[in-house]
Order: sequence, then structure tokens, then C-alpha cells
Amino acid sequence: MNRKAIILLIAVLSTFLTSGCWNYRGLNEMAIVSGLAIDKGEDARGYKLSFEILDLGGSSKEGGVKTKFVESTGNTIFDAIRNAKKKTESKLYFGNARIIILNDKLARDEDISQLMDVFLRANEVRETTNVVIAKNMSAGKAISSKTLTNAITSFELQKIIAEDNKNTASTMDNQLYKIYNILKAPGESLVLPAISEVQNGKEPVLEIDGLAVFNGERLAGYLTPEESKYYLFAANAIKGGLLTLSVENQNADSLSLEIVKNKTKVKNVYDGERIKLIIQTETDAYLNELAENINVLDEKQINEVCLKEEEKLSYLISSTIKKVQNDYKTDIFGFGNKIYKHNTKLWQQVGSDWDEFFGSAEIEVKSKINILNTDSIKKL
Amino acid sequence: MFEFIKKRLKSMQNEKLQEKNTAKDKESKISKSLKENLGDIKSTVGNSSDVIMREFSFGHGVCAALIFIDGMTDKKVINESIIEPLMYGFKCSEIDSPDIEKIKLQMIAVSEVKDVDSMDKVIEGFLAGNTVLLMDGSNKALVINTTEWEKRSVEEPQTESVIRGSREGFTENMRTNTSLLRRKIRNPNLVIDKTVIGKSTNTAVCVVYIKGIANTELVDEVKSRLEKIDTDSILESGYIEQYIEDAPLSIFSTVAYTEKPDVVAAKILEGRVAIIVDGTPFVLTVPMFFVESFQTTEDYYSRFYFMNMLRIVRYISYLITILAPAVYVAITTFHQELIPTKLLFTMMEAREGIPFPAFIETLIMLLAFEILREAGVRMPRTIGQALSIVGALVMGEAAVSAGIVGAPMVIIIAITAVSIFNIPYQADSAAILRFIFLILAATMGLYGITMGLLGTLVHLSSLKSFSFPYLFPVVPFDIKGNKDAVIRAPLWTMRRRPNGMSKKNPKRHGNFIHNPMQRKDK
Repeated sequence: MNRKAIILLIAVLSTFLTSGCWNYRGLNEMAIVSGLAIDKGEDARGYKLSFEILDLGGSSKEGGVKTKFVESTGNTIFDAIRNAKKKTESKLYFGNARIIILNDKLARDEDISQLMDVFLRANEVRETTNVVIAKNMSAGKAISSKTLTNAITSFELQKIIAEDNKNTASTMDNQLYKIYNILKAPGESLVLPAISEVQNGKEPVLEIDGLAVFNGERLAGYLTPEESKYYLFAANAIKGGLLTLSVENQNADSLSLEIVKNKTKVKNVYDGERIKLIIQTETDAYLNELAENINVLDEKQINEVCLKEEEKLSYLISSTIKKVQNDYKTDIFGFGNKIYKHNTKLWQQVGSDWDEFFGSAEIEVKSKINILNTDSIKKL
Repeated sequence: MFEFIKKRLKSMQNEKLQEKNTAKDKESKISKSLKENLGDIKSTVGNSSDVIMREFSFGHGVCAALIFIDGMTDKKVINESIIEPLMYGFKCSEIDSPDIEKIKLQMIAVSEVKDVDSMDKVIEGFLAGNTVLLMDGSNKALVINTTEWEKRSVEEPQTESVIRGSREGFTENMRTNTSLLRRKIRNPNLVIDKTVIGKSTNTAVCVVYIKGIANTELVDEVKSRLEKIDTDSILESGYIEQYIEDAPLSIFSTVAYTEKPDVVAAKILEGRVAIIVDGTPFVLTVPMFFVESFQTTEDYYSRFYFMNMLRIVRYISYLITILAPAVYVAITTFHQELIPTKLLFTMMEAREGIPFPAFIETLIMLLAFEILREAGVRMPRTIGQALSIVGALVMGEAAVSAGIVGAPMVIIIAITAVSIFNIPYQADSAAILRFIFLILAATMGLYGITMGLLGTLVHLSSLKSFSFPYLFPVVPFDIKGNKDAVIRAPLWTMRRRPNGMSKKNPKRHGNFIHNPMQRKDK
């Protein structure tokens, strides 16, 4: 063989020998982590982690998948993850982890971007993992408590967050990658879903409980599920949910409108001292419940319903914004980010001190409701 | 390394050519003495019991002998149409000299008679089932066609069954096969060109093509390659295939074969050349394209929507059969993140307690399948049933419940095994590719599979079949040829034969457009 052939042979062989996938690991050499919870360490140093791992022992044919819990402590989060290996046969596999639960106190005391760093850096963890705040309990307790339908708590929690974002408009589905996007974006603050334990009949279960509001990288407080809905309106992120009102009845609401589509526009006026934010929402809705004496075919009466609801909605949105302005002084709605993107000159004036400008901004909300459909029935 | 083998092969071929040339120069003539001739024949054929030499005399003392082989000739024809007219015919008394022309013209009542003057032709004649008439005093002999032997009737081919279309299949008898073709194409331009190959077997080989459609260069190339074959035996068309193919060291075959006359007819009508070998029902056609492996006659006989769907299914089957075990191994050992969580969990459960790594598990099952398949072909038909039961039990239930292999593995092997039967022409190459891909996947994951696919593609594009690119019409891309590659366009849109196949007569039909609306206007 001549020189050329030998060189070619070496070149071909080296493509095989020096490359290729090297992380060989059989399916039976891994423990699938479905979710994990992070608490502060006991003596206020380090961290305590709780993992929910899928239990292969019981067959899924008989009574569904079972889960097991592993707890570990460490000086850093990664240290705690490695320490968990001491208790399990195989290395923990995070490729299917769906949720990371943070303790309330931990989120208040520590920088969330630093807490999440290890998960964003690791190649196994998906960027679509949800991060939630456990409101009035330890994160470890949250992950080991039961949920109603699914045997795997983490999977159920993730489903609840994704679906509630769409159907009940009571939370915001912010995933791991979005935390960094929002934290690094000028003029915008982070919100994360909050969970708390409630009584369902006799047994305690987990429930999505509005939003956790961050000021910078630290937790500042919470919004209730109802306020979360108006937050979603203002942030142009609402995809569904209900609006209720009454026209004649003064004591209780007797009409339900289901939100189909919403578009929110924000305008701003700057007079040199204060900024004025004009929020315009336009909502398409279906009339789904009507316990009042209204003829749905009469345009006048329907318009009256719309007007009433418009009035109510704009009031609630502006009061939610005002609550955030007064209590947290942080722009979770991303109004500042819109200015940054579309009005650079204004941002140069207000950007450096945006939280102050936002806190003192004048809010005006204009809502518009279009009822598209009244679900077939004319009148009861 | 391959270069070395190629050079070696070339030098061997040259040696053989020279040998052949020296062997051809002497040809023995028939002598005038009958005794001498019979002695010659006896010394050539030895003491064979089936060679019969009937000596007799007729007319005014003309001594003669008939030589034929028992079992290959029709005795009734010999008795009634050769011996009887010579010995008792009303003109027989007129014969007083061994006048071969007169006897041929007036006495022999058989349709095909030839006169020859060399001993080789005489021997060749009776070995092929003819009867040879030798006369004392004549240096010529008559070769009279009396062939008649036991043969299989035309049956439906076992390997290529169809739902719609002709059920005829070729048989072992070459003349039956040529007649089947002649019946499909009743055209004076259909040429059936016969040669004899094999020094010991003297096997008849026919080159079949349509004059005016097939390129003359192609026909000449086929003939010259057949001429170059220097071997003592041709027992099946597979011998010819291996002697004339372009890439003898490739795992892909570049010569197509079939058992069905309608397939051969369609292919020679596209400008291909067929090679019929006596003694086998498998007929070769050249050149072969890779896409031919995915075509069946029914693609053209049934309407095109459904048949296109089936053709796409065939391509998918091919990918499954070569890649499924490899992808399974790669994903479960390197790329678990590609598996949806619930599926991953099910697979992990199935693999729980399996003693082998996924690669070994796959290897065991693939080997078991190949063993079963081979056994199914070789074993007597009567115990085939038992095999399928044992196979199903061993491959499926028992292996899973004993915890030797996981249930997903059985599914993978089953789909792999079933898929291969959709593309029978590539079955042999696919079986080898499957193992290559499996090893690549086990060592390098999906990266290895990608490298393997690229390598296969490079190799396929380098192949040629009788100077036609193997991957035509995909590489080089030919838009007209693609009417009949991955999908099959309606018949009336395929106006031309495959590009380059027929330079003289590329059109199949005129500007006939199948549009009922247009016809109404006229």
C-alpha cells in the first residue's frame, strides 16, 4: 500500500475513534427524577434537596407508577445532588425532571438566578422545566404531598400549571429558560407560579395559588389567583378563563363570559416628571351562563352587558396594577420592556430609574368586550 | 486492498482468455468410415448406458447408425419418422449411396434437420437431445431434432406471488421460457440470441432484447461480458450474474432477477436486456437500478393512488428493516432524552432484570431470527408448521417470560423481520447492513448510524450497472425518471422510457392525453 492509502485509512479511522457518542449508559443504570425541591439547610448553611424518583419496583400494569423520595444535603446544590447518589443504586437522571420547587424563605433570601444556575448549566435538565414557589410550607413537604389524579406529583403539578395558564387564567407558565430571559430583560420583573396546600374533603392536596412576585432576583410577595387573572390581562398573556358580573342583581354575580381571545395594547405619555400608562384591552368572549332576565337577541341589552363588564374589568385591572405599584414597586407587567423595545429615546430618560417611574406612574385602563356567541339558547 | 484484489482478478482474466484462444484451434472432422466415427464417439462418451447407438442398413446396403440419448428423445418420432421411412419407405429402395442431401430432403419426416461436418457438433447435437444420423461413406451427419424430456409445467412462481396480474412463471426449460416471452411480445424485433457457456455443462444461454429499443452498445456489452466467461459449469443464472456484474465485491446486487415473464417483458420494453439460462426459472435483466427493488408489477396494473401508498410503504419498510434494531440500541444506550417519559418508563420496566446490555440482547434476537429464517427455507415442507410454532414461542413468549429479552425488543425484531419481506430483491443486502448499523449504533450511537448511512450513500452512488448509475433517477437527478421512482405517476403521463435507456426509440406512446373531457369535445 502506498502512502496516500495509509493517510486516507488513518483519516477515516480517526473519524471513528476520536468522535462519536461516548456517554454509554444502559436503561437499567439510571434513576429517573421527576421533580425536585430545594429548601434551606438546617443550620442555615447549604441546602436540603428532596427528589421524587420513579420507582421501577412495582409494575405499572398493577395500579400505576409509584414514586419514592430521596433527601440529601450539601454545601451547594450540585453537592447535594451528588450526595443523593449515596442513597441510590444508580445515578440520578434529570432528563425527565418536570418541576423544581423552591421554598418561600429561600427565594426571599437568595438570588434566584444563582439558585437556578446549576440547572441551566447541566446538559441533562430541560430548559422547559417549571419552577414554582411553595407558599406556606417547606418545598420538601410540597413535593412529597399527594395530588388528586396522577401518582407522580411533579408531573401533575406541571400539567396543572400549563392547563391553568390556559383555562382558569390563575397563573403564569414561566419555565426555566424564561426566568433568565425575564431577569436579563430591562424593564421587566419575574413572576413564578405559587403553590399551597388546601383541604380537599378530608385529605390535604396541592393547589396552584396565584403568582409569586419577584423584585429583581428576590421574592417580594404574592398575587392571589384572581389578581393573577388581571395581571395576565395587563401583561397581554391571557389565553382563557372567565369573567363574571351581574347587571341587575346587586349581591352576587349571575353572568359568565368565557374569554376566547384578548389583545392588550399599552401606550405611554411622558410629561417630563411622571409617566402615564394607557392600557387598552380588547376581549372576545362567549356568553356561557346567564341567570338573569336578558334577551340575548336584543342588541341593546347585550351592549349593556358589555358596558357593565368593560367598566368592571378596567377597574379590576387598574386596581391590580396599583397594588403591585404600591406593595412591590416592580414592573412584573413588562411595561418598561415595551418602552425599551419601541421607544429608545424615552427609555434613555427613564430606564435607569424605571422602578421608581413605574411605582409613581398614572394608570388608565380602557377595556372593550365583544360577545361573539351566546351558546344557542335564546332565553330560559 | 480492494485495488490489489481487482488487479489480481484482472490478471487472472487475461490468462483465461489466452487459454481459451489456444484451445479453440483444433476441430476434428467426421471421417468417411462409420466404424471410425462410432469408435471416436465411444471413446468420447465412454461407456454411458444412456447413449444409444443403433446400427442398421437401408436401401442398397447403406450402413448407418443413429445416436441418441435415452430419456431426452422422443422414441416415437425416431421409430416412425426416421427409421421407418428409411427402412420401409416407398422410396427407400432408390437409395444406393449415402447421399445426405437427398435423405435430408426426401426421407426424414421431422421438422428440424441440420447437416453438420464436425465431430464436436455431432456430440453437442446428441447431448442436447437430438438424434444424429451417421452413414458409412459420408463425411457429413444429420442432426435431427427429436428432443422430448420430462419438464415442469408453467406454474405460479413461489417467490413472487401477486394479487393482480399474470400468474405464469418461468420454468427450468429454456424453450418454454422463450415462448412465454414471445407470447407477451409478438414483435419481429424481439431477438432471442442463443450462446452456449460452460465447458463441461454446455449450458444454453439466451440474450433477449428488442431491436430498435435496446441500445446496441448495451447489447454488445452484455454479449462481450458473456463471451468472456470462462468456466466449466453454469448451473443457475446466479453463476452468470456473478461473472458479469459490475461490482462483484459490493453487498448490493447490480443485476436484477425475476421469475415472472411479464416483469421481463416490461423491462426489455424499457430497453433492458434479459439473460435466460437453461435449467433455471430465474431470468436476469440488466442494467439494474436501485429503485427497481421497490417496484412490483402490480404498481402498474392497479390504479396509482393505492399503489403509490404501497410503494412508499416499501421504502419505509426498507428503512425499518435496516435501521430499527440499530436505532433502538442507540436511543436506549446513548440518547435517553429522546424517549418520551412514559415510554421511557415502560421500556425501563421491560428491561428490568434483563441480564444483557441492549446490544447483546439485539444481537441474540437478530441471530435467532436469521437461524429461524434459514431453517424455515431448508427444512422439509412437512415440518414447517412445527418450526413456526417453535419460532413464535421461542422468539416471543418464552424469551420474554424467562427474562432473557425485553418485550420492546421482540416488537423491534418482529417489525424488522416482517419489513424485509416487502423488498425481497434487497433482502440479502439489508440483512448485512442491519448488522453493520447495529454495531455502529452500539459503539457510537446515532452519530455512528449517521456515519453508516453516509457511507452507504457514498457507496451506492459510486455503483454502476452496465454503465448506468445505480441510483438513477435520483442520482443523477432526472425529473422525468422520477415519475417512476419513489412514486409512480399515472401510466399516460409516462411518455418516455427511462432516460438514456433507449436512445433510438425513447417514446412509449404519442401525445395521448387521458382526458375524457377533451374527447367529448371532438
